[in-house]
Amino acid sequence: MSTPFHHVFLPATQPGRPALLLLHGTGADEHDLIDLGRALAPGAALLSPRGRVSENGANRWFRRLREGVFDVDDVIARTHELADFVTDAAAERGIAHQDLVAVGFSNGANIAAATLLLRPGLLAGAVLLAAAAPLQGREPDQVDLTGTRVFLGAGRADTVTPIDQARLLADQLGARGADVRMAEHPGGHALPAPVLAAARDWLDTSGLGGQNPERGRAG
Amino acid sequence: MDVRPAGIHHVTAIASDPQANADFYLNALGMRLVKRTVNFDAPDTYHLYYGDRAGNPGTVMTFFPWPDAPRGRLGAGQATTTSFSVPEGSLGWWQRHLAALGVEATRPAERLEEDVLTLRDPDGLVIELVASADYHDTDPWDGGAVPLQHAIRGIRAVTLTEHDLEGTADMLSGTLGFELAAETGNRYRFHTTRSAEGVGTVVDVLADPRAKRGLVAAGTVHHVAYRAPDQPTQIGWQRSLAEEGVGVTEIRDRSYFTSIYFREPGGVLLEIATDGPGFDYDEPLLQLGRALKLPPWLEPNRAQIERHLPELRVGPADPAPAAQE
Repeated sequence: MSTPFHHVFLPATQPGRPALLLLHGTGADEHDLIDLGRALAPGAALLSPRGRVSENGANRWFRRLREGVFDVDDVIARTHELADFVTDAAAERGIAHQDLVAVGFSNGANIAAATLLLRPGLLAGAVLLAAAAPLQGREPDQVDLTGTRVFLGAGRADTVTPIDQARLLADQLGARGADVRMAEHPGGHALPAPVLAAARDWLDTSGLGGQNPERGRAG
Repeated sequence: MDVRPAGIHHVTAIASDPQANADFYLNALGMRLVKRTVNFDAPDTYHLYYGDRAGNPGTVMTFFPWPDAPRGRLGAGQATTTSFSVPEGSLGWWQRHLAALGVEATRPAERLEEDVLTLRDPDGLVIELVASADYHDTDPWDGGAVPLQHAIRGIRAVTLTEHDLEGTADMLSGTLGFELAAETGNRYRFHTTRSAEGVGTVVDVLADPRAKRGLVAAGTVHHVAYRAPDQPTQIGWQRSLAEEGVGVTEIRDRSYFTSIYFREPGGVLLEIATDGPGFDYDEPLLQLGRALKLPPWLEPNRAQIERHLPELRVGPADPAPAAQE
């Protein structure tokens, strides 16, 4: 039995949509990204857990020693803890792994990236917004991410997560076979409207969630 | 879905003379000038931000000082009082400190288990200092006129004066996820437990059907901002508000946070602002507030903007005579 996480689950209201695993940023909680999930993939099932680490009362997914310096042992342990929970929750809700797409912002994007690298096969894809390379030199080499689709949104003026971190992560995922789409924007640690729109279009045409992108979008 | 802010982010009010405004908030209240910039929508006027050491969310009071602005009128459909937290037992020190500066302050009876000192800033804006046991140790500024043990800890509350309680109460407890925590007379106290730092957690609504409609000008609050942890959350909340039929603006870039604006049913302008990037985004923490900072799109017009702005001198505060304990 996996460690329980506080979470919100909203079942799909439309067929042929991916199921989104929503991973909030530091200081947010399981409710905060629900509407973003609806905006990204209307009708999709939404599973939104709450990070189990508290930093002075702010929910997070793993410990950090200071801003930008992660406790990598904790990253690895927490990634497996979350992955076990998601595995059980998906089984319980009848969600197939080929339909499961993580959507994370900042600290949530970091644990999603760690999940891709440490638990291949759990996620079919991910939308990583303002992400860093979370394993800081301890990425496993023998991981085949062929068929995994990743969208990265990153700001060139991001002072919290420098753009080099997102580019490094894109390289790490691409080198292991993932299909990576990088959307850089001139802004900071944020989600500008054009990137949100690009992520939505990417989800619509990615073939994730059992859609046939050749068929175009159902009106 | 609910919009669930972690309490108050900042309060913005209108002043007249920028120098008198800075002198009061720095020397009388001992706050830090954390940003000297312009009103992005009217760049020939200042936008001054005061707060704790870093201008953390929940500690920030900001002003549009419009020289020669007419005096506004406090009334219904306005945030009529802004309350700051100070440590328990500090109000005696504050009374002596303010008296030494010639600032009138009254100490009404205790209210809802808190000790209150009421005063007005040079433009007549109503400020309260509230001492209560449940203040939190945040990141208070002690580089100014007030020693650390008495320094303001952050915003505790805003008071909204309303003709009708109902619509405002519905928005607070329905849409915005506050809980009705106490009632005394015509004061209804709403509270959130979502602020990790324990700042900006209270909204009081004063129901006064006979109150005149307020007039927003000098000495009145322009808007009250609530906290979103980050922009993806803000985008979701913007969508939630729009779905509920609330007229909410597009996301606006304020450099130190991004913002959306909407009105509550009684007419008070509200904002939701992100916790980041924060005030050290364009200057080092040690140097906050010293230089005029402009957003990138106004930088080309710096010379012209600086010519139009009145001089603002912010020197080290003289230690107040009453501060000797």
